[in-house]
Amino acid sequence: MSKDVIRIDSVDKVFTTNGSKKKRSSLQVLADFSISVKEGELFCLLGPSGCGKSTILRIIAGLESPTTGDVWVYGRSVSDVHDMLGMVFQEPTLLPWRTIEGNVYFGLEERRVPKAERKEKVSEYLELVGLEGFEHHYPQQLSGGMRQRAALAATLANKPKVLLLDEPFGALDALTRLVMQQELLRILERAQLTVVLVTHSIDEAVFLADRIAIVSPRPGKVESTIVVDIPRPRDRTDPRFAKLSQEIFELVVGEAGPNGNGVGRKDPASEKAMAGGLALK
Amino acid sequence: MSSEDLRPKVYSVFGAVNQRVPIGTLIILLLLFAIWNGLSRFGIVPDYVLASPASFMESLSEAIRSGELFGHMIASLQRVFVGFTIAMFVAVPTGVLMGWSPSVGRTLNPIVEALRPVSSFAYVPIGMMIFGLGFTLNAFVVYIASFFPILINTIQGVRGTEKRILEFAKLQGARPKSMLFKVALPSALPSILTGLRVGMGIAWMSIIATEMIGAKSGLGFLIYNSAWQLEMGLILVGVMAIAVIGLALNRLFLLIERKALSWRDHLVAG
Ligand SMILES: Nc1ncnc2c1ncn2[C@@H]1O[C@H](COP(=O)(O)OP(=O)(O)O)[C@@H](O)[C@H]1O
Ligand SMILES: [Mg+2]
Repeated sequence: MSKDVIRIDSVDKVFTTNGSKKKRSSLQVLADFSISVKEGELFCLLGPSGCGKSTILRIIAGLESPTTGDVWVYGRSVSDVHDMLGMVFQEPTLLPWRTIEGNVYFGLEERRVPKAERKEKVSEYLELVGLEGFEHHYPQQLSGGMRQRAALAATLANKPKVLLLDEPFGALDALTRLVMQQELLRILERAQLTVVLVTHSIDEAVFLADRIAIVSPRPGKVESTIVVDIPRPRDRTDPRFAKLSQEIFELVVGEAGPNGNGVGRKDPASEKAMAGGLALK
Repeated sequence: MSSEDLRPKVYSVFGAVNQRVPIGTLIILLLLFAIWNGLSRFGIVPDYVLASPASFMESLSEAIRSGELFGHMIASLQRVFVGFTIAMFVAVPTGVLMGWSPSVGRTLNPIVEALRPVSSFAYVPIGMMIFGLGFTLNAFVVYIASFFPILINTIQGVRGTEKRILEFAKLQGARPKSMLFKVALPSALPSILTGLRVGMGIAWMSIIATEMIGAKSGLGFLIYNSAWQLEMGLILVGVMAIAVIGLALNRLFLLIERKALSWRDHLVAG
């Protein structure tokens, strides 16, 4: 449990807009960004939008390369997209000309999973994310949340060892969001995975994470890492839950400064009350 | 089917295919017919300039009965078919290559941009020297005319593949060949099919013009020759046949697009 699966060592990322030489401008998105994620851990990156959370996930996935610094996954320096990694984008993405079933098939085809196994796997993973009965629908026929689950099924079917989730519930309403958080924990229980999850919700981070890294805005940098040692299944009415949320809120407000945009967009008190009222299990 | 019932109400992207002709259009057509009838009935426009509806009908039934109209139609369609098919088989792969490989695109683009604005009829004299008058010359001009719309749309379609979708495929483990054949190509298909439809439209326009100089048959030859023979009714018959076939070809291509892109048809209402 103590082996580092992901190590990010003082990564800087500077985006340079292309254009004529004079008009060219650069934006530093990440500065001296370092984290390490242990095997089997659910690690949350918490920060306001625009602080570079998606960028760091894309760097881990090998879709983007750091300007300086190093990224290792299972001890290997990341230089390109890697088979052990799966990622679900912030914006639900699927192949629009394939059905939901066809989208899950895609990765299996490409990985040359024997034909006989494919059908079985497709229904297994669609059932896992609760999309049975929608096999023959096209992505356009589903809601954003359903598409997100389909993308998760397609990703999980490839049996990655590391799963990167970029605000997977960002597009959902507050109620569905609570249900999906429970669902995610249930799904993860069955798949042995190391997870990095990006969110801007304190409540979500405290409910899901083993550890939380608080990312400060512009340029993104890990300000502090918090261990969440509330036993599972977690209960939002637990006093420890409220206490930790409050502590993180204060940390974040401290980070953002008087004119910064804090992480906790919603009033944390009201969100807590709501969760308490629902008290899932 | 239960999955049918679950489907939300959909709007067709290709409404044009199954739309009925609006009543206003019919009224305008009737009005035009009345004007045409009036112009010739009251001798405002003489019969040797514009045939009267009566002489048009006479020419039409004669042209159908003798098989002359049918013969010319087949001649034009054959030339278009051959020229267009070859253009498709050359332009689509070339466009895919130019759109997919930046270096191929950069290398060939200046040549394409230089040749594209040249009217296909500018090739008639060269074609005449090489092929002489006849089938090959006409098919050659059709080839040139339809080549560029197909090429340009294919390039744009392949290049326009969303980055997000390419990244999704890559993360799913897509092999390099699949990135092109299973991702970029299906994504470019709507644009390629549009290119084919536009290319066919231009092919049909150009065959008529070419046949006026470069053929002894075909609808272009028919209307040009009728003018020399002062057969005004037959000119109108030719024009009508050109319009009807052009319309039918366009519909055929829209139908193919609709069938091939049915996944796009499931747009959720609202
Ligand atoms: N490819 C890119 N080119 C230029 N700027 C980018 C690019 N990707 C992201 N950015 C910028 O980097 C900053 C951080 O973006 P992102 O990582 O998406 O933040 P977050 O996910 O935390 O909201 C934003 O200001 C964004 O505009
Ligand atoms: Mg983001």
